[in-house]
Amino acid sequence: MKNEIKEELEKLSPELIQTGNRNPFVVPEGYWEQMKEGVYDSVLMDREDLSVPSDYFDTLTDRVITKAKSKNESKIISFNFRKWIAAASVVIFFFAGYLVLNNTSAAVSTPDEFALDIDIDEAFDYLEDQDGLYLTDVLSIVDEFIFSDTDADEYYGEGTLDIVLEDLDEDQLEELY
Amino acid sequence: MKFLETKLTDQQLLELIALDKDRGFRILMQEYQEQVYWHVRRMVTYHNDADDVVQNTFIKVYRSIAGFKGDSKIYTWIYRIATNESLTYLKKRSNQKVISIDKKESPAVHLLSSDVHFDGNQAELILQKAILTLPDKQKIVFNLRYFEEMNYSEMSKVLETSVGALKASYHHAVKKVQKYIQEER
Repeated sequence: MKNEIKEELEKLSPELIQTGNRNPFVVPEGYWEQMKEGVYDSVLMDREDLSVPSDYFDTLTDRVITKAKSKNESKIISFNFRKWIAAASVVIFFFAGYLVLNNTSAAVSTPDEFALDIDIDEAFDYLEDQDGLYLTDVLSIVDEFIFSDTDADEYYGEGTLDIVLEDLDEDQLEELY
Repeated sequence: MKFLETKLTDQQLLELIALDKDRGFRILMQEYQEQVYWHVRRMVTYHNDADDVVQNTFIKVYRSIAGFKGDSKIYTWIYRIATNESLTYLKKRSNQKVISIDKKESPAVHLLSSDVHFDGNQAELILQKAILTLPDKQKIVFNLRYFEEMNYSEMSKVLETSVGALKASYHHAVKKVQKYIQEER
């Protein structure tokens, strides 16, 4: 025991000097190696989680560029198609509302019920599978039922048309008008 | 893995870790594992508990060593992590509802007599039982001072507490331990 510790204890508790400060605990045999391995295993698991294949960074740039190019091409086609399908779905909602407003068919649901029944993604999936859907068909529906029906906002909320129009680029808008 | 024969300075060890983290970490563990283990073991008393805490401590060291700026000694920094881990562990342990057969002694004190990893004589057993009755923070201060013979200035850095508060804490701890020992005789 260091003198500094002893001197302090002499004032506080001389008995503790006699007991001494030998370590009375022991560890199981082979513990130190086992403990090190336990820690290494844990930290190596960490490292494995963050590891990458040896050539990962060498090929990363090429893979990103290739992917970006192919994605870009497919995006142009599918994105535009999706926009128009979305527009067509909105047209269907408005068309249903129009029918209800004019009491042309008792069999059609109210606008709210109808809106709940149609999922835009389902509609997209369905229409994507159909052949012969042309942009001109969509445009004519839009022209006839959206832009001629000023009551639409009342039933479907203000700004609905703006949302549809926001999705269209300049060329498409020009074509629409 | 062949470890270096000569002891590295903190700066050299940090440089090695920056270059080769795994190799540097192995050297760091080789250097500090026993000190840290005994520090933790005195805190949590039982080997299996100490093993858990030490492993968690070194895993934290590995994960955060890159962010260690060298503001203090590596040893002080690791001790601080080990102390906090021990305190967290003790808090969890004390929250577990364990029914003690002997109302006077806590379950930890009761178990110490039959611990196969305790090799002390009767006086050392009573001393350890006395230490187990101390509040956690007093226990740390007592162990660091009495067993590890750490000076107050170093202890102040590890525990981030003023030297005056540590001296007062040690004084209270010694008095409580002495009282326990006298009652046991």
